[in-house]
Amino acid sequence: MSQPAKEDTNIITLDDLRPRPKEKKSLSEYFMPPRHSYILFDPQRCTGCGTCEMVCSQRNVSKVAPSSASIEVIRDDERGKNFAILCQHCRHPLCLEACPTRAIEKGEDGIVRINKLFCVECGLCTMACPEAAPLRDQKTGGIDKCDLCEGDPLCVKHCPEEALIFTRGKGFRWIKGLRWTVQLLSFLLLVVVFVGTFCYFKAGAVTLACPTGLLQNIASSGTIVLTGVSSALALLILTAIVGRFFCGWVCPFGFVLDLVGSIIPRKIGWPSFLKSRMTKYGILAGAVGGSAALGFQAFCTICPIGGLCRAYGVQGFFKGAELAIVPALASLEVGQRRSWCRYFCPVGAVLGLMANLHLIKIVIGANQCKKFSCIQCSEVCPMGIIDEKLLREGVSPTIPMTECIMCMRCIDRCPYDAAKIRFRWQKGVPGIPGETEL
Amino acid sequence: MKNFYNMKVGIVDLAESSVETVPLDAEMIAEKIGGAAVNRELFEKYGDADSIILGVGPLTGSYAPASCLLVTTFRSSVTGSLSHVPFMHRSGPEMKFSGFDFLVIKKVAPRPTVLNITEGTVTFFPADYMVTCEVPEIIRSIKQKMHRGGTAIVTGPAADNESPFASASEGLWSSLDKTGLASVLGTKNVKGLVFNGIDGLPFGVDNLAKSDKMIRAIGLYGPSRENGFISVLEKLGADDDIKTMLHKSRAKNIACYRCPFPCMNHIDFTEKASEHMRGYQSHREVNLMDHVGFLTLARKYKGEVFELLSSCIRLGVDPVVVSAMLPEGGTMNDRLEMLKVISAGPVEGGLKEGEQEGYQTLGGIAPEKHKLFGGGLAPIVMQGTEDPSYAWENRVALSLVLGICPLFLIMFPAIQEADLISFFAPEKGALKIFQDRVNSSTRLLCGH
Repeated sequence: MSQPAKEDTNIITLDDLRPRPKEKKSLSEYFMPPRHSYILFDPQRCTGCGTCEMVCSQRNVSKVAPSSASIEVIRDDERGKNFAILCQHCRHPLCLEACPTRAIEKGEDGIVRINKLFCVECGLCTMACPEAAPLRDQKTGGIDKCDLCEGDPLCVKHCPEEALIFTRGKGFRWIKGLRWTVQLLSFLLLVVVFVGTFCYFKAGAVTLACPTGLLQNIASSGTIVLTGVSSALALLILTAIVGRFFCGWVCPFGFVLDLVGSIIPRKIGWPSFLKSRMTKYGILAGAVGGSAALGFQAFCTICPIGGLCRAYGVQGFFKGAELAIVPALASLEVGQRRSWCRYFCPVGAVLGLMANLHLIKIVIGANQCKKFSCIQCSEVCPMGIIDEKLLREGVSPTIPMTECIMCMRCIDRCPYDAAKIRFRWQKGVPGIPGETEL
Repeated sequence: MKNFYNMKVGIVDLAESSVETVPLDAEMIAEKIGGAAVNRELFEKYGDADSIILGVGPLTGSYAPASCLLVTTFRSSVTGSLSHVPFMHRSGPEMKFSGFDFLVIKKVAPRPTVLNITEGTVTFFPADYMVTCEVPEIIRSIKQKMHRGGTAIVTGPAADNESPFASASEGLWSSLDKTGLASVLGTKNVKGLVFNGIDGLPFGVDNLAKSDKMIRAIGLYGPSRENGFISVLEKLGADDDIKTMLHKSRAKNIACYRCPFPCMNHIDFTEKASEHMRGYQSHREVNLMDHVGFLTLARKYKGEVFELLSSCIRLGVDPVVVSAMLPEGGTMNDRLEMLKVISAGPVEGGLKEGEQEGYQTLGGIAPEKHKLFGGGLAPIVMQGTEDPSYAWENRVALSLVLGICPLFLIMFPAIQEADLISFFAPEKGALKIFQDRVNSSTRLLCGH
């Protein structure tokens, strides 16, 4: 519907002054996301004394009036639990989207504020917010919302139990930096320096081989060569200890997918029949069966990892047809991140089987996580294995280690330290020492 | 001192279901300061023989540490004289922020009634359906009338049945009422008092820094998980078994309004299998704030203390009396049956023994002085004083005049009277004058 043209463009109305929602991410946001400032609440420490409400109301209405505070402590006497309702300054605030007068804005400093000039006190923000954080002042009927005291929250400063902790979020994510560095180095080593060594590498007595290639080799030749088995064992043992670390940190095709995935937008949704994680095991079985029938390593001819590793150099780029598989499979990223790794990669399938033995695991403690305003772990997981629904319900989800590629994006991104690495036998999850994941 | 009061007194006529709001006499406040001392004056001025006066101190609701006090004054049927029962948790600030500093409750309501106090008005709700309901049911029902953060003082079935051992309860926390406030409320047909404090007062913001400094000075800033209920019991001479039992089952420390010392506990426990339901175990929870009541029950019925205390709170009876009247032997079922009998009406005998049992830890404090302040306050004597009993009385009276939790002041003798008075009288000259007036008010309360 077209808007009626303004008769006099020189007149500035309140509507012109209101901030408009930001539609696109700036380039800098791709590489260095804005800081996420918020207050962490520790329910175990909170005694319900209400000092936070007192100091907050002092700032809001210049008197001690707990019902006019922007923080509310809910005291459940029957269950002996205290909860604090306070704004989490979400990355994508729902209150901001719900506000019909665009009175709510998220500043460059990450603080979500209500501009009282534009607020008509309709209360839609309180309904939209999953934490119910914009609070209605029971005396005046206005809406109170935490503005983090412009970066120095009084409630945090005066909480006698230190149950409130102010954090500006993580700045540089060191795991992310380290992973990209390792991935780049691995790519250069496997693709440029030691061409073709991923499929088979021999230096003196040391031999390394791709486990999927080995399976196909055994199937096609009908013989088991002991040195071949031992050479594939290195990667398998590593996987049995740390899970599919190879996929997340070393695989050159994984690196290509991550690069492509961070640049191209995801616009196409895959049909559900394509989204079966069992497909890769079918492809693995097909590769082994096909190799036995054809008498050569059938999948290796179209393997994107092998294709990349063999493509550089004199015999490399000019092989053309083999290399063409790489952009073709990388284009699957328009649907989901790491689509190839999730559903189709037979190398991942072999490693996934070994990862069943995993010595370490990743756990996410729902109790420590701010379910509604964050869910960043689920957003950043390239394999899509963190159950957002369970987290929202307050249940610690089990991370299937057969699918997890140990990229540790969840650990790196979680602002609440709710995602951690644990040994397989450790039962606790962050937040509740005795609680186990579902 | 004007910023510390609403300067309003509500005179509630239960028979007429009406409220008259009169201005608080500034001279009286300047002279008597507040709390129990002003309650006493109002009792004489407006009250009849069975009136109940509710009041707050100047510091109630302010930045001063543990400023949670509401004090009720009435003629006790147990002692035959005036008694001042302190209520802590959040009732004091909620009453002050509801617009009244003092409430005089007169006459008898024609039917069971709940008073809803908010925004300087009192509303009367019929509460016939609450009669004989247990305290948790009443609280759940009343919650619908509460704003966020509101609080309620209610009576249970024991008060409905005119049991002399009835005890009022603030929410699900029970109370220190052991001198018959619940019985008086029962005879007046008042089932509950709901305070919805949705306003506030401009206590000086500079008091916040002063208060923080005071809290730091007594070493209470920072997580205090190891303090709480147990540390009060330690001062009362609880043995190691009781402490171990509490350590094992302690779930959470809870503090009153603006209190850095969480002396209340919320406990998770497993209900023991009853005779006819062997093997059945049920998960239960109970709030602990009555140190004396808990200790008396725990000394006699160690393993069953949580269950018994939970039943006492549900029925609204005093655990100290219950501990004396329950049989030593027998099963848990017998005890629960007996509890129902106690809450069902007057029971002959046992009270004297109960008193002796419950107050064996009075530590030299005269029982009549202990009962003057509700009979439920932890009798912790202050070491290093010439007359511990005199010091205890004075300390409690001071807290009841200023509006500070008496237990907090008893536990932390390092907190000086002058420091507290300086919250509302920061200038040196005024401080001295107010110090004298506070002293005279405390002496008056103690009857010295």
